Amino acid sequence: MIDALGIVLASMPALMAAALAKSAPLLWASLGGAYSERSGVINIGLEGMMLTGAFFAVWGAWFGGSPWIGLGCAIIAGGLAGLLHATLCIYGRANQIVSGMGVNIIALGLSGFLLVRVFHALGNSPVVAKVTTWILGAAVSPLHLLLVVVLLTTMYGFYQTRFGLRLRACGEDPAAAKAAGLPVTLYRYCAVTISGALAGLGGAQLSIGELSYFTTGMSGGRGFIALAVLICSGWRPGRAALICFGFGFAEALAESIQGVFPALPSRALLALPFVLALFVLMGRPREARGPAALGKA
Amino acid sequence: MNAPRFLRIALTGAAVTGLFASLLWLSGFSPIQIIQTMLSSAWGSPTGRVQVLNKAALLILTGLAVAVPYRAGLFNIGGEGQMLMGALAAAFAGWLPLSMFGPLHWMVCLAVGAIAGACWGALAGCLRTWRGIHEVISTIMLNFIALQCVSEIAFGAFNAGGGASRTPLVLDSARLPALMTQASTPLTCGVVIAIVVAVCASVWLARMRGGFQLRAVGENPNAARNAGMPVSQIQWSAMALGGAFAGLAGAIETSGMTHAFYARFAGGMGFDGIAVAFLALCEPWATVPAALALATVRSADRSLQLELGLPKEIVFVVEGVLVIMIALLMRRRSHD
Repeated sequence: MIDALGIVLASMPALMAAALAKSAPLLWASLGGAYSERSGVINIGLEGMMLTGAFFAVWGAWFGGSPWIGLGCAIIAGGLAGLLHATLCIYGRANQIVSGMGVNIIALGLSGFLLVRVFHALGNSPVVAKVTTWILGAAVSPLHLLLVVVLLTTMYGFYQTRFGLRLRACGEDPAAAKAAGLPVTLYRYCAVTISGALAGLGGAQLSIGELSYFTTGMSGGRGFIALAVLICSGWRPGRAALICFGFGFAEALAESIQGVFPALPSRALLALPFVLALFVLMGRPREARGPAALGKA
Repeated sequence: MNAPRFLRIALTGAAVTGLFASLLWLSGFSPIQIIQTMLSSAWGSPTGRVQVLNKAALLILTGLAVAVPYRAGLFNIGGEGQMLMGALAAAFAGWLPLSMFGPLHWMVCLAVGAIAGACWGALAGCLRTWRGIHEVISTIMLNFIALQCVSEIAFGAFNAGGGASRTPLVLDSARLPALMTQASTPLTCGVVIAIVVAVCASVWLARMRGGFQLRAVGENPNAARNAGMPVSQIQWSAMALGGAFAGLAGAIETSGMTHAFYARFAGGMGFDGIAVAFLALCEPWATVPAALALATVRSADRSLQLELGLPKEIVFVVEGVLVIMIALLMRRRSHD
């Protein structure tokens, strides 16, 4: 028992590396969600936007011949999925939760449909070139660095720049923001489109960052977990990053314990991160308050 | 930009439909032909009709699992987990030698499934009222936890043995009676149960005291509290009720169709309930037509592939466009 614990502890660096790899796609989507929801638009469509990004990353990498073109395609496709949600919610005044669900379902269908039509493949796409990784103690790719840059920019931008403050004003009190002369609608369109583009990058991180192909429904609920992270964090990007890392760490730990103690119930162990998350939430006093005008765009 | 509401709805709706219809045209399929094939494959043959009705039974119930808590202002996306719990519990109750109950055995199965689902739903409800954890977060987490726990049990302690990825088969007395056995798959009485439950839920919401309280909490929890209603209790009961519907769906699938709990069970059926509930505008009786519509679309996937050579995923695109139309037509949640 103690020995085995020692093995787990000795593999700490590997564990941290695995945790980073697991938390990166989540963080992309959480940051995306933060933009949309801070501007006042609920985004349940993160899951679908991730899936769209994951598919078009592979599509771009296949036809463009380079993972960089794939990343570009993921940003554009995710952004367009965001724009669809934005148009429905802002111009169409649609119910934002239902619209997000619609985006999720369409993304599932469209990516599966195109997978068959474009690649003539069922389930898995052909293997494409993935984003280069450097081994610096852990597998680090330019995508990870970009994620850190986006995280820091968001943390600074939300609270210190004119764009961020105005964006948040649109989510808190759109009427006052409008009276102060802000183009609230334009800010919201931008925010939801950015949201989609970031979630799309999260998908690309899965398909051409971690793996090098697309599988049907590969986002596997991560968009929903990202949404949960966002709500937990009180819509704050810094905290969201910490929670994503904690979550990724718990997942990596569960998998490594599974390897060391084969006698333990392996599947129940995989539920550990989610149980932990619930316990963490239970111990925390309720404080988080969302943007006041969330869902009222 | 300042077009009236109906014009906005019409414009956005037409644009979305046009976008995806033209996408189909471009890949060489006629949208009209697709819809014709869907209708004929679902309703054109006895087997098709039976499949649609059996599928609709589950969709009605998972739809109710979302629709009823939504009327209390709670968004239950935990239908998947609640359904898994119900299905496994029903498989266990069906395996127990309770045949002395005779025809009651399958009813016991359904009841046990509903109770298991209700417990899983009530857990999320209690986390919300007791610790203030948003039900969207807790139900997502509980879905994953349920999935891992039930597969642990189905592969471990309660396995059929011999490397099967399922639990032992339920006894004959625990199988849902069939209404019709002419087609290749029997039509179970699940669809009747589901319709009765949906209608009862509608009447209860509209006419009974409990239903009124539930709606009052959904419209304005503060006003409900000031009027002396036990808001917390109503909230967690609403989640338990939602869980019971989803658990019942799982039990009907186990005791009516699969006769055992398979490790790959729900496969997104809990999430389909969200689409059904919103297609029904969260009115319980309306989940019946909504589920029939969705079951029609869903059960056509294979024939679309065989007859038109169309990837079966296209049914999700059609479903998504339907959901977006509903999103455009829906009134916003007033209390959010």
